[in-house]
Amino acid sequence: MRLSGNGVVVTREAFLEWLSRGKTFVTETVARRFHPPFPSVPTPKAVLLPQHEALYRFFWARRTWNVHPLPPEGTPILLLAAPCEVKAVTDVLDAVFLGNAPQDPYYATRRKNLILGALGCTFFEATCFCTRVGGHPLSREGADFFALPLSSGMYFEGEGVSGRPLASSEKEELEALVADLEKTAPPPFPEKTPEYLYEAFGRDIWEDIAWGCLNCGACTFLCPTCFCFDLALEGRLRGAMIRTWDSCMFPKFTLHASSHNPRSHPMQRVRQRILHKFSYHPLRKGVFGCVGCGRCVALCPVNWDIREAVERVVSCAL
Amino acid sequence: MNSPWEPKIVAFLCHWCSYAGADLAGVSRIQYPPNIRVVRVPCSGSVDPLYILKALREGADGVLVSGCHPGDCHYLSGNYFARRKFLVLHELLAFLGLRDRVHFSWVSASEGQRFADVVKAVTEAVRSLGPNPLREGESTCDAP
Amino acid sequence: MTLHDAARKLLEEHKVQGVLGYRKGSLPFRTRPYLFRDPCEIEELVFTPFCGLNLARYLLFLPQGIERVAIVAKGCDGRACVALVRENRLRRENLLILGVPCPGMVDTRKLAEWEGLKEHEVTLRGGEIVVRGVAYPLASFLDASCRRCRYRSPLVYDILVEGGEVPSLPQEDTLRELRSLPEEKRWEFFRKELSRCIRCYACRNACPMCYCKECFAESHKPSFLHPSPTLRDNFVFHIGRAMHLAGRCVECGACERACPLGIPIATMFLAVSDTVREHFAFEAGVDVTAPAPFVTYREDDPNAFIR
Repeated sequence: MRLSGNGVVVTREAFLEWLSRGKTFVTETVARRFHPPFPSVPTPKAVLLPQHEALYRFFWARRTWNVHPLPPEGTPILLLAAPCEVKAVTDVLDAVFLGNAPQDPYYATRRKNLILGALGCTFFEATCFCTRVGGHPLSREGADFFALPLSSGMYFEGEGVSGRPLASSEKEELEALVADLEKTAPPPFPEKTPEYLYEAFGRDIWEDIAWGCLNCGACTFLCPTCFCFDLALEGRLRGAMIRTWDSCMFPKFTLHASSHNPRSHPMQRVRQRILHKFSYHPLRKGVFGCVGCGRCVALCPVNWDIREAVERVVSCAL
Repeated sequence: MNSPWEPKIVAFLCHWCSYAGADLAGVSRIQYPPNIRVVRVPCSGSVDPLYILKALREGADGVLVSGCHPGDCHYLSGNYFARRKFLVLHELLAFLGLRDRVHFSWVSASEGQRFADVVKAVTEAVRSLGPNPLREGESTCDAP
Repeated sequence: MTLHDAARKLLEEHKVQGVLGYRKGSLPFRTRPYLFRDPCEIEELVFTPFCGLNLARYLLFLPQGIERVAIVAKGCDGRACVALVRENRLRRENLLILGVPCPGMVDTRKLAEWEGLKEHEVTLRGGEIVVRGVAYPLASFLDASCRRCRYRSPLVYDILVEGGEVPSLPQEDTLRELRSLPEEKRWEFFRKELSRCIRCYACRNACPMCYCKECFAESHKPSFLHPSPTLRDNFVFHIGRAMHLAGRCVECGACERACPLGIPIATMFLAVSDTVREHFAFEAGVDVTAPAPFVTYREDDPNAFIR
């Protein structure tokens, strides 16, 4: 759902004031571009699925185990994010944590109390590729409200803010922006990309593609859609069950209790990451498991570029 | 129970010298602060720096590692290797601003009084520093 | 002989099956590691002030069929090669060190303040860096480990490439400022930085000397730390790794460059290297024959810190 053009215009100050009414955060992308006076989080994942949280406490007393769940407080939070980051929540995280029964109650509580707003993008960074995976810089899909900075103020679509209708010069500005974004948008991946990747599993090309990757885990931790987690008991007679982020890049990620490890080789783990995001998730849920935010490309220590990897595999198939 | 804070110090004592020295202090009824928790190891050279870090991670306010005097190691050279490792750890912790959390000593099997004196000195040094600074952000599984 | 000529010749004459070097990245000011196998690929080989990655890390991750490999080595990378040979991880005869005098690597974060900066707008000229036509002292743009580098040219090499300009920058004592702070301020600094770490392990995986199949950080039984990125677990990881690198760290700074959050992680490893240098007169990767500092001892080793 793109912007309808039926929104209102308010001043930047009025918009910021409206945002300040509650507990407001912004993502680092928004902080970098818009410089609002709110604390930033790296991605929406940090708010919905914290890097480590205690799920329940336990202690041994009166000759039995006593277990106390630790549900999150459910403080209402407003998060202003880029459209790709909103898509990460609605298309991937919600599908995973709320899509099947039983739903994850910890995630559900936080999600229910989250107001998620999209701040539209006016340009593509060198690392952006949302349009390659079905996203758009002006998308308000899944967002509770949409805002876009114009030269004369803030364009706003949603409830709770009253302003004036768009002036004709502002309408022109929006149209010019839409046209400019159309021109510079990275083209989508070929239509059958998930199928091509799926069929390419056994090819020789993967060793070459995967070489160079350090298998560190930086990309997975910074990614707004990566959701894999580990559960571990800390403590013995008293302690807690702690959930932490895990990474498919780590060698022990698929270590079985039998000590067999189906992905012991770095190449297998890199292949898995690509296939999961660009093949398995879209084949099952109908949307890519990647939103094209480009953090992994920007922050990879060796400039291993997932876009190039997907292109190479697909071009082999075509 | 709100008793005033007392430092908890984990002491890695080598079996042949320092542990025996601690034993001697005990049978001689020499009093020393009860803040140390002793872990007996075969040799100070067998103390992996990770044991010291683990003790700090688990909330110990201080760590003491004690072995035989140089030249007297039961395994001949264990304490010489230990000395080099410990110097690096000592200077690294000092560089981080955590000087005096981790202490080292050479105490022989016949030095019961000396062991007590070392423990007294270490306990006071750690007490003046306050509780373990890594405890910030305690999770619910931590001991109160 | 230039770097490209040397590399091309090595492949044409089949002296090696591959040349480990740098290639242009997909973003401005980024390069990536690449194993050149065909002489005609050599035209894509680059060596710029944005080649901070330590290629020696890949010597233990070569694909099948590479028996002898050449590596484009800066001073620090050369040290890493020597250190790996000394630890019996590599055979010296299977390694051909293509030494390149290094001008120092630019900290790309410092270039972030120029909007839309293009690669051709940044050049090095002697001890200066020219950004959009304005010259600045090079030292202020270099990575911290480059500013204190003692071995800008590899000491051990098979071929030393000519034409590289090594500015005579003084070695800065980059830790002096930290060391001069009072204890509480120093701890405040490290407490803040260690708390920021998300334990992505980019630093560890970028390090050429961290090659353990199972890292102590991933050990479950015994468990030295937990996966949670709390201050106390991060403390164990970084200080534990610093201890494992004592006498082995080649001071290349790849760890700090790899960190996605820009944490000055190398300060700890550099401090440990200073201790080892000062007290045990040892530097990793400088002398292939020198015994490692922690498998030897002297009876007059420093003892004053022990009661």
